[in-house]
Amino acid sequence: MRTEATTPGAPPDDPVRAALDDEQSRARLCVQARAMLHRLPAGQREPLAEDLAHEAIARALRGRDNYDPAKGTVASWLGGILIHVVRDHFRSLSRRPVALAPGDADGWERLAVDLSSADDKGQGGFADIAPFVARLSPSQQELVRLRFWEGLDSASIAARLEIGAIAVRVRLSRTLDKLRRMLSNQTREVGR
Amino acid sequence: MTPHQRRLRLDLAATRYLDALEREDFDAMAELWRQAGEDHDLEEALHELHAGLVEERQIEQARRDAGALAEAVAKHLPSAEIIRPTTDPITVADVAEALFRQPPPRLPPEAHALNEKLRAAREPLPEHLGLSKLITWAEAKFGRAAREYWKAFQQAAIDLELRQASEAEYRMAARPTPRKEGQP
Repeated sequence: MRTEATTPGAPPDDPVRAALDDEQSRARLCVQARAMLHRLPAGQREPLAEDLAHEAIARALRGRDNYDPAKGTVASWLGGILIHVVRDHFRSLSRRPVALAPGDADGWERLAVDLSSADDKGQGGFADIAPFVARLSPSQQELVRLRFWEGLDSASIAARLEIGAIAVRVRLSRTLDKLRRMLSNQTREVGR
Repeated sequence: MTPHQRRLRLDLAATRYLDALEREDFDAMAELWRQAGEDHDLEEALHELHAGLVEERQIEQARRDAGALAEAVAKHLPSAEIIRPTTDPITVADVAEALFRQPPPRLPPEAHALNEKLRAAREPLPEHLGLSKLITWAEAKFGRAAREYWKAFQQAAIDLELRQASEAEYRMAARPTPRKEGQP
């Protein structure tokens, strides 16, 4: 279990209050809400994200006795509450998820195995995944090369590409998701 | 677990989260947040992802606004000229200049001599060439060089392309077009 810094002035035995008194924690909830409302136009997204983040804060305060430090950090508990708040909001609009989870255990499994192999054996380990990497855009190929071939961390990749570290995280995730879809499609085609 | 394996695990978890977020799969998101409760690095990765997505949308929005503004200016202010930064293709000279500023180690003198010559070559670089095709194309036009030089050349070209792509926010200005002769 990790302990979190408490805000000066917050009750020492109330980590939820301490986290909610922290400006950064509240700002992160708003950012999470904005990210989760990605399908809405900006004009609707911004005010609704604020409302839902506030609702999550209110729920957290009401239910703070339920927070169990043994199960994780306050930040992750708050993140979980916000997910429920957004889901409840969508349910109240009778809005269904755009695409139900397809599972796709095969694609994730293959991606993990192929990238581990590349990671363990260096360039030689790329043999299995290389044909798929070759179908990515040049910038995505470069990202895969820097991360899994050269083994650079996000900060080094950001410096090399002259972009922000948070942009690296999104681009990397999109690139891996694209690879996963390709692997999954191939598995399905072979299975036919 | 090695540091590389750990990073791979984080990258995959963040990718799963992005996938769940885009599909609005709240159960999968909640499960990843539960895991993040016991893993500070994963928690940070999820926060990074949120911030990155919000930033990405702000850039998209700025582009759309700029496009709408340009359209409105073109429609209602026909005397204005819209100036956009050039998105010229990368030239051989651009890449050679980058290599001149940051020369790769252990290049033979002939490669440096060729690079000097290429700094004046204003020819656009063909897109998406693999290394072999790039060498064939470039050597036919500019002469032979060590394979290491062309590898470094290709790398510098990719870096330039990425840099150009990340300059997402294009600046735009409108200013009156100079009057043509004879016009009131």
